[in-house]
Amino acid sequence: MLDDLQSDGLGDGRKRERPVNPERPLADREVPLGPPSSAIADTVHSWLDGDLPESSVRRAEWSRDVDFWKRMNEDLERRRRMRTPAHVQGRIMEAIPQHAPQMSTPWWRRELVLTPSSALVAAATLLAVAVAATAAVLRFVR
Amino acid sequence: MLAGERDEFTVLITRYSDPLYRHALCMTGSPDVAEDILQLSFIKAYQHLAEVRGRFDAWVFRIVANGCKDWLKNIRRSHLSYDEDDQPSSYATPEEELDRTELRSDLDVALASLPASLREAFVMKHVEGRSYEEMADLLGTTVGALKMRVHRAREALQALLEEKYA
Repeated sequence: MLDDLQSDGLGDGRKRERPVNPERPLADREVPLGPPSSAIADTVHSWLDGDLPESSVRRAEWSRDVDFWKRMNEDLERRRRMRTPAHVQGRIMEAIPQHAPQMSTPWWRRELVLTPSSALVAAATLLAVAVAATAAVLRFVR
Repeated sequence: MLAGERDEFTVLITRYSDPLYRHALCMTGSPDVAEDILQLSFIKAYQHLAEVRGRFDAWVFRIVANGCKDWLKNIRRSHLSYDEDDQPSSYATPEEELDRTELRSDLDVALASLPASLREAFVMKHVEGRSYEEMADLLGTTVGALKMRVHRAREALQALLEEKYA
């Protein structure tokens, strides 16, 4: 028997009614923006950017915008004071590994540590390789 | 510090978690999601401490910002509420308190309706209080482009809310 992969079909030609979820996630409500219907004057933007004092935008034609943004700033101010809940730091520390992470450095970037004994071993290895190579070349020439 | 010692890493978390949490909360609208993003970001940062080049705060901000954007692409979330600090409310009467809750909720809905790039720019400017230069540095774009995003975000928010609040 094959599964019916069409989840909203009932298999008899009828369509299953989708449940309406009025509590759609807020962040899921992104909508394409058309041309903004509320153009803000450059001077007001400059004030909002902190480049101009409030007195420079306190003119009749912008007073509505200024009042609006001062009202919005009441909530933005509250958001600026929000703190990480106290338990979060503990949660993070519990979750991070107990030991320092191992660095995965490629061999050619690793630091070379040369001790007297390792120098001797390296020299002996090089000598042996050189002797073997010379012997091979001489045998080939003859 | 960059050797990844746990205790010293706590110092970094303490120092940088608040602005990162605010960013994640304003971007996602959910305290639970913001906490998760913060936790995952710091774990990722700890695991890759050796790769930090330049400022740690800028580096970890990018991890959090990318975490938010990834989450927004795959939204599966539920409720909205805020943990605030202990500062006393400046709203005296119940009516003002109600008004404040309504404004918060309306602004949340309006912010959520913005495209992620505009929301991000607006939050960085108006909640995190960053300069355009700093934003450009963090997001790898130009000051002009960011001004445009912030302006468009303001105009969109005003268009959505001015009838009620102007």
